[in-house]
Amino acid sequence: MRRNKLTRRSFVVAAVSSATGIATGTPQVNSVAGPLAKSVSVLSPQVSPGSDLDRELLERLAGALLPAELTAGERSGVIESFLRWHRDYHPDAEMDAGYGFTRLRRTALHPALGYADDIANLRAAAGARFGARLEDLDAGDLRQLLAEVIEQAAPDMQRLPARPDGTHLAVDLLAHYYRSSEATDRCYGMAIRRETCRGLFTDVEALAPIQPPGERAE
Amino acid sequence: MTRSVQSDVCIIGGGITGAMMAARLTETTDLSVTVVEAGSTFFDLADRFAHRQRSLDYGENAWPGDTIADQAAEGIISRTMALGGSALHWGGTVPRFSREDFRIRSLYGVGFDWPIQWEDIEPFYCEGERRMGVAGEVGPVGEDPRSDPYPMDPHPMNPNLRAYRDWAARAGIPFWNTPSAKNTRVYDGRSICQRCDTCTICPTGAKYSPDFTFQQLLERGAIEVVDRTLVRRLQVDPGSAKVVRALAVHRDSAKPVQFEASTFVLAAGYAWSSHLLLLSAAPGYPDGLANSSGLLGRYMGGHRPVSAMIEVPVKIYPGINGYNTLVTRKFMRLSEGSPYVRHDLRIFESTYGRQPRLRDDAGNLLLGDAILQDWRSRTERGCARVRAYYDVIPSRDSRLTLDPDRTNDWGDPLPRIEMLDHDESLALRDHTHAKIHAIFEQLVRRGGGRLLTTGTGGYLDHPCGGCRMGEDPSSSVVNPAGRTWDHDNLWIAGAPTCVSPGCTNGTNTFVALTLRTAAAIAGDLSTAA
Repeated sequence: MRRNKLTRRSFVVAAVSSATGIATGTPQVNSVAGPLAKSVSVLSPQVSPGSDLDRELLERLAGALLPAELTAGERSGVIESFLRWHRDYHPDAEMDAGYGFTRLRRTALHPALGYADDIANLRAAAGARFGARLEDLDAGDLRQLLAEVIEQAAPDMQRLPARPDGTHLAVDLLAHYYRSSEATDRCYGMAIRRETCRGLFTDVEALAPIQPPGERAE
Repeated sequence: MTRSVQSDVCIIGGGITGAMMAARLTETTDLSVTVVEAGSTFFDLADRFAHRQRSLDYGENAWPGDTIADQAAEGIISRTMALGGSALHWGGTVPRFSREDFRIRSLYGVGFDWPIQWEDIEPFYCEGERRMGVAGEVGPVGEDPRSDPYPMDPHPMNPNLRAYRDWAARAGIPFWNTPSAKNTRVYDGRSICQRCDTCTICPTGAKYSPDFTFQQLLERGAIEVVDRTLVRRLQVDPGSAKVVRALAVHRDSAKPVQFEASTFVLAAGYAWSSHLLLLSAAPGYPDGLANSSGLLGRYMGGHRPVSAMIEVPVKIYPGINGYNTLVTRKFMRLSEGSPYVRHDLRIFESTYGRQPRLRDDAGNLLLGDAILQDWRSRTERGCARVRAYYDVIPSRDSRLTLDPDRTNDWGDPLPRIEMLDHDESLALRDHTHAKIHAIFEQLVRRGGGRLLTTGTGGYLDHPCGGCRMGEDPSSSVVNPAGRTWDHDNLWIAGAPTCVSPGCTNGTNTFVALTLRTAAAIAGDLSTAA
């Protein structure tokens, strides 16, 4: 994991920057000195991190990262939900203190703080590797490129994180989708509807199957 | 200027113990009752859907503001300090101790007998189950005698639980619904369970939590609650040895508050009850109040979890309702002549080894369809988490002390808890673990599947003790009713008074003990009147 773990210093710097509107760094995407510089570089007092993400680009990334059996409409829904998740994220919010081994914890800096860098680096890599714009890569090349950047950003990660944590835009998109109730249903082919209030006697006998890929509406 | 609050009874601590104590006292007597709570009040049922969603989406605390930053004891297992206590976000699991728990020394020659027996506490189990609203069923191996049926029918068994039950039955181990304080019908003005699968934050109010009791009592004008107020000392009249006041501080204004009452009840749980008595050391009581035996803060105990992750030969669909579980009490009774091992056993839904991943076992990166294919391939067979709680006989040196190195914002030393097994438990530990592991293996051998991992918990669960009850003032802190031997108007309720931790979840027993103490207080005061 390379960034966005909330340290006292990074939080103070980010908070001061955000509150005063003073830019504490300039986006020099290929020459970022470290996690702190990278995080601070894209802070803006007015705009929630991630809210200016290029939706079309996200859809292209989703096409390479998510299962092909998702319809275009379902992919769009994932992106919509991903953007909404980031819009509503609260850094430094109180977290559960745990049970057994307790500790007071706060949520980390906004996971999207580094996405601008991630995208810039992807663009640069697309040019260097394929001599093409990121937007023009075919699905195979794009997946290959994403695999390379994920290998770099998360060399030791096996399990997807429970939710986006700023490891990399691509990993966060994967985590957001695959950790969802919808993805669980797709994996099992059943309407488990995890964490859905459903009535005490619903689904007691058997779960309902979800529609197979070919039978779902676009 | 010091604010002074007077009442007949001052209850210190607003958790489930305080709630039950206040409810019973106000229903059975005309006494005025004040409850003092260091934390905040959350009567926020309307907000719980929103808090729950934030918790699910972002990992935020579903009970924001339920901790006090500087009240951090080493060795405590929950940081919650709020009106409602830890039972705001408990799982609602309420098995009873077994009949044997109260006399293991007599029956098996180990541990300690309690000064009370099953028959003494059983009516209060029934009362507690009515007050909380418990749904349950009597299992096929039979439970200890019940004088009343469960107040509600058990939760319906979902397909996962039926699959686990049938699998375990092949190994000859009967499992059934774990009793839980979650409504299977509208009960006490609260909703029927909607199986939201987030019982630690129940958005519908179907799970009992003590805030409901406090809210009802306040609406009836039956009690006064003074929250965000930390009691720092109890003060004793040197002549009579009675507690005359509780000295506190309002945490926001930093102004002193004092509580005067004819009766004081410590309902502050396993940690903060002993802690307050130790803090209250004074001339004549250099080692703390209620400590003439020297046992205050000692004999703290809990049960140790031993778990296994077992791949079962059936498909499981995790996420239907993981908080509903199966239990068996088959291993709470000993065959004659066997070395002492007693434990419960429960089965929980698990996604162990069945979560989406970025790399396969060989370390190859997975993207696109590959993640889904890999995930599906690992879910053809399900996983069960099987867990036993076995009782650990507490050592005399298993204790809470005042931490010489850490204080709260008011300069008071914080508690430090160090749990230690009694020598008898230490001697039995290997045998105990081997017996439990043999059951895991029996499940696999006869039910099918594969043992994936086993583990032992790093802490003792449902902690209790510190103010143990007894019939002899030289070997106990309180009498069998919960009255301290040293101060006849000071009572201690619930978990701290336990002699031993039992081998199953403790809350139902803590509640029953509290109600029994409440009955004794009411009897005592009516006699005095």
